[in-house]
Amino acid sequence: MEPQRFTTELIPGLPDEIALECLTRMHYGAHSVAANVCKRWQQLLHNRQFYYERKKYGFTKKVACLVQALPVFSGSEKPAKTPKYGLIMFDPVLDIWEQIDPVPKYPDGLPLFCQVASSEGKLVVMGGWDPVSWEPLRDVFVYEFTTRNWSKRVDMPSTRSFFATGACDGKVYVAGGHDESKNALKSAWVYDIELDEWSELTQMSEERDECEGVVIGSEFWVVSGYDTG
Amino acid sequence: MSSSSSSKMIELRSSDGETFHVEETVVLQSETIKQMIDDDCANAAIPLPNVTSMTLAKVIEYIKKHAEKPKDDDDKKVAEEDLKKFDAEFVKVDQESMLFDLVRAANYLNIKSLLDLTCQAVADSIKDLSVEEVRKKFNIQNDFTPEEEAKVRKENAWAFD
Repeated sequence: MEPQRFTTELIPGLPDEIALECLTRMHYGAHSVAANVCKRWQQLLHNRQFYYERKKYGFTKKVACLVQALPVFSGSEKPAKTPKYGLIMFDPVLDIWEQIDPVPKYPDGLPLFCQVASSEGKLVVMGGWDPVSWEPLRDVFVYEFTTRNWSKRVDMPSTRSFFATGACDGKVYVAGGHDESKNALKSAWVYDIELDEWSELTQMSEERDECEGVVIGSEFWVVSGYDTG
Repeated sequence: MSSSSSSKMIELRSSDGETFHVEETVVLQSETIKQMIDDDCANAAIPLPNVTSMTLAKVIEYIKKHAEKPKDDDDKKVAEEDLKKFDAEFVKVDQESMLFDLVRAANYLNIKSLLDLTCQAVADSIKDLSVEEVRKKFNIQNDFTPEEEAKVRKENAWAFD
């Protein structure tokens, strides 16, 4: 996509390359405001190249995210038997734990056993079971750390539970797991975060339920698990 | 601050004709000026047509401070802390235009650490502002149509508070 040409300066009074130097240094907490200042800033901040520009100069930061059981209190001192699940973020630089806003569709807790992957400053939550009915889900949600917004994306092409996942260069890989009838799966798909598109990959040579995914360099590895047996 | 009398002095001339005498060792922090000296173009006063005397005085204050050499390791720690404080105070300028002047001067004179410092100061000045305040601060025109604006406001109501 050819970027739109602008006649206005990024920051009036500064050469564009210097204005860009300034904006890449901006704290990510200010991104959501900055993206609404004018069209040029909006386009810049939404461009995935901007993330790499920030990363190149060391202005991105690493945080750890995990799905955690949050105790539910309903009046009594003891928490209810079933906890709800939420996303927790740890910032090793500021040394703080922070709860990430719930997915709007699941305000009372994430789907059980959903899978989480991250790439280019975004968090992708996929699948899992409905917290109430325990029906397997195909939902995909993306959390943008800079704007702190969730967006609902195209569903996974098929139902898949306990699958392997990994992410690299703006793409999320899923493989294996089991279908609605508990059949272990050979199939694997890739999701492009920017295009919001799923494409099928070559199938694995064997079916694999409850497998684990890991990205090493630019390779997605699927290890362990078992067949339907 | 006393300087060694043996150090060569370089003469700089600002856009408004004022001249400044700075030790060569200090002024070498500017890659642009270093290049001129290397090319043997610094025998007369070096004209800096893009930098006003007010800005140049600030820049010289900065490079002088950054040229101070600690005597020993103990002194080094103190000096580092002191430099951090100096940098933090240095970018606390009354007017946005002064900060921009410093950014442009750092860019033109190619002083990496000053460019980093001043660009970071511009970036930090955006923090905790509302959309309107950012536009006003940087004199940026709101070019969203009323419809686009309404949509954005609805999605990010909190950002406009």
